Amino acid sequence: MSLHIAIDPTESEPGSRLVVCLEGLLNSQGAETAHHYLRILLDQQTKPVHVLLEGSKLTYLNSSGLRTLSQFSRELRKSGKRLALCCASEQLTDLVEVAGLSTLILMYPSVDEARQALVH
Amino acid sequence: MPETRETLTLRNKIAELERLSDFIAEFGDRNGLAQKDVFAFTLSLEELVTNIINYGYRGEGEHPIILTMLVEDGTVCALLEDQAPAFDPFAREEVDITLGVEDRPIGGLGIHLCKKMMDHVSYDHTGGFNRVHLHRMLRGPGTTVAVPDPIDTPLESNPQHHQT
Repeated sequence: MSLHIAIDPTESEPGSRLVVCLEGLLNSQGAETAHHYLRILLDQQTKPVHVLLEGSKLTYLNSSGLRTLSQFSRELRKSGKRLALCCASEQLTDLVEVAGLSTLILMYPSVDEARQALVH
Repeated sequence: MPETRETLTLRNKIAELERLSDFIAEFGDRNGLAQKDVFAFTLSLEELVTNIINYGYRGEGEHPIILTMLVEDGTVCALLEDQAPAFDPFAREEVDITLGVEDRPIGGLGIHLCKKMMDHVSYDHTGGFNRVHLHRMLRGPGTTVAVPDPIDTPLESNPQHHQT
């Protein structure tokens, strides 16, 4: 199984917050897919946006995936925006914590909670 | 729990990672491991095998990477062997996760995660083989836990363990 990644147009608010659904494996192969997709997505924006990753169907995440998300988060932070991973399993949430990346990859139990936290 | 030893031989190709994760999942099923234990070994062994393929063998030629796993006295043990130049993956300086997220180098994260996921890791170089040992105690309720000795399967003397 590979990584499927797609923007959720019904949840996204152009110019403010994008909601992107992740499904499958964010391993070294998935990380490449995610990197390209997120890069293109960001280039298409006319103004900086928060990016909320909906990860309820994300089944695996390793150091390659964490590196990609971290690098992407650093890019967003340069324009004052944040990257959030929402609805991830307890296992993946723990992994981000153990990696010491929870201030870079913000974790929320739901997209709604991320949306409420990332207002500006 | 009786000892159940299983061995997988991989080639030094990234495409082999799928066989690796399938093997660990099936080993987990056969031995009643919890999902979090399967996840811990999948993540740790994928990180180690990727490093062996990319940096040990440098993507050159065709070489074996041999994984042996067993459950003993409430602990899951894995032994990973390769014939790349001697290299201790655990000798590297610890990743400093207290550094600011903007300042922290990203390298070394895979090994850091491996160390955190396991209860004990060790390395030796024996008979021309890099040998990485991973131990993780089973977390199930009522599990009797003891850290067994490292798996000792000199490859030269145990050809029956080379089957894929």
